[in-house]
Amino acid sequence: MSQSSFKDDLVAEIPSLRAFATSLCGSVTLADDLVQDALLKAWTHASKFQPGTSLRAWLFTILRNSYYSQYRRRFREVQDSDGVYARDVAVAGNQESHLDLADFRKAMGHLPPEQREVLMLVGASGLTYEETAAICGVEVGTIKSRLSRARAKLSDLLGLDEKPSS
Amino acid sequence: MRRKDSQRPTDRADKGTTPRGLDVRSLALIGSALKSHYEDLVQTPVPKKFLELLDQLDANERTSRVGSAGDEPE
Repeated sequence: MSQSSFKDDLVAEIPSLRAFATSLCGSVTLADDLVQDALLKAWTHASKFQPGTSLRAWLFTILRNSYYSQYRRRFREVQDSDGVYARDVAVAGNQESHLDLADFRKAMGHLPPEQREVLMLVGASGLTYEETAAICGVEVGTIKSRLSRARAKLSDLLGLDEKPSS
Repeated sequence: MRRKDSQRPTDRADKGTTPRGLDVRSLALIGSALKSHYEDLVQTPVPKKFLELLDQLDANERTSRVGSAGDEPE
C-alpha cells in the first residue's frame, strides 16, 4: 500500500542520486550503474528505512557504500572515458563573476573522492553537516575540515588566490 | 637511520594553503560554480530504465503479495 508512495519517493530522488553518483565516480555511464544498484538495494531493504528521516540521506548512504565497497576500483580504471569532467560545456557569463564550468569540473576531478563528496553533499545537495557526517561515517568536525580543504584545493587549482590587479 | 613511527597525519592542506584562508569572493565563486554544476547534473533527463525498473519491482511485489496472501503469519 505505502509501497507505491515509496516508489514515488524513490523516483523523485533519482536526479539527485545521479548527480551525487556522477560527482563521486566522474562518469555518467558508470554513475547510472551505481544508481540502479542503489535503487535495487533500497527497494529490497525498504523496511529498514525509518519514515520521518531523510530518504535522500538514506539513499546517498546506500549508494556511497556500494561505491566504496565494490565500484571504486572499477571506476578508477575507466574514469573519465566518457568524462563529465572532460565534457565541453558552454558557459554564459564572464570570468569575473563566474567560473568556467568546464574548468570547475576538471578541478573537481582532481580532488580526492572524500573531498568531492563533501562538496556535493553539503555544498550542492543541501544536506546538513550532521546528515553528511552520518552518510560518510565520520564526525561533523571531519566534514567541516574536509570541506575547507576541498575549497582551498579548488581555489588553488582554479587560481582564485591570485587576485587580478585591476 | 631511525625512523619514528609516530608521524602525525598532516591535517593541513599542502603547499602552504590555509584551509580557512579563502576570501569571500573565492568562496562565492566556488559556491555558485558548485550549484551550477549540480543543477546541470540534476536537470539531466532521467533514463527510462530507472522508472521501468521500479515499475517492475512494484509489479513483482504486488503479484507476490497476492500470490502469497495469508502465507505470512501476523
